[in-house]
Amino acid sequence: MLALVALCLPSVVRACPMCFTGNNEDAFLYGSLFLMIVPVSAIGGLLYWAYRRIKASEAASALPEEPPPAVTGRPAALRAVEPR
Amino acid sequence: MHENVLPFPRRLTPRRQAVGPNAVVGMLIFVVTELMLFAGFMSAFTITRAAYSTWPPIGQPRLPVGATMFNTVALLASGALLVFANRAFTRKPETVRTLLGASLGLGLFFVAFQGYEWAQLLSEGLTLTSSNHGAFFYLIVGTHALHAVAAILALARAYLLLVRGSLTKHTFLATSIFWFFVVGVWPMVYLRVYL
Repeated sequence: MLALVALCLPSVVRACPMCFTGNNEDAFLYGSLFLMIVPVSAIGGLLYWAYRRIKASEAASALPEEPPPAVTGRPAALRAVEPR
Repeated sequence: MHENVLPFPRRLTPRRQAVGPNAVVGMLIFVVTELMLFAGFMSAFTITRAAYSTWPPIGQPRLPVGATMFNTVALLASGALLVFANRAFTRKPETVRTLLGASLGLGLFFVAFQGYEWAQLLSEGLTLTSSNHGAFFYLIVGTHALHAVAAILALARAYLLLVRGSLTKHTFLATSIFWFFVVGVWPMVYLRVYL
């Protein structure tokens, strides 16, 4: 809708004192680049921090390998409560 | 009991673990969003400033660059003291109160000095509606001041909890992250707005 207005009434759109005074084309470019880089860097850094935390947590919780239990036909949890 | 019955209760899915402490993760997400807020302000300021051949505009008061540099050093020192306080939290807990108190004091000095500078600028005619210069100055520096005040309140709460002996490592870290954000953003604001 706004684009349609801009096409039909160019003189109204070009009255904006911020955009069409002085030579600030480079500022638009640098500002756009800045606004692209900042969120990518910030969110990427946050995700990388989360990834490192997950990896560290997985490494800390990794259990050492245990020898296979003896084949007795009973689950290990029940073997400890053998009836006397 | 049947030999093949599994022991009950049995978890079929592995227990999910949090990425980090909730306070720290929440504060990091908040910091990222506020970082984008300042990035938008700085970008708009850069574009507006580039449209002027002279900046500050003719007839507008000049900003106190030297005095604000001194204030910037005080704020950076506050951030450094808080880094030491975080390190000392587990290694030398008896020094945390002094370091945190000093960091809080320097933060209060920064905000107070900024308020004094604002009063001077207002008396010289730089207001929110006097020009684009005044509008952007009070918008950007004012938003930073709001964040600084909120972070100081959080630091003060952490100090009270520390005095009572109920400050946890995660709460302290989350509070520190907020202050580090305030300290880290200020040099960029100073370089862009004041210089």
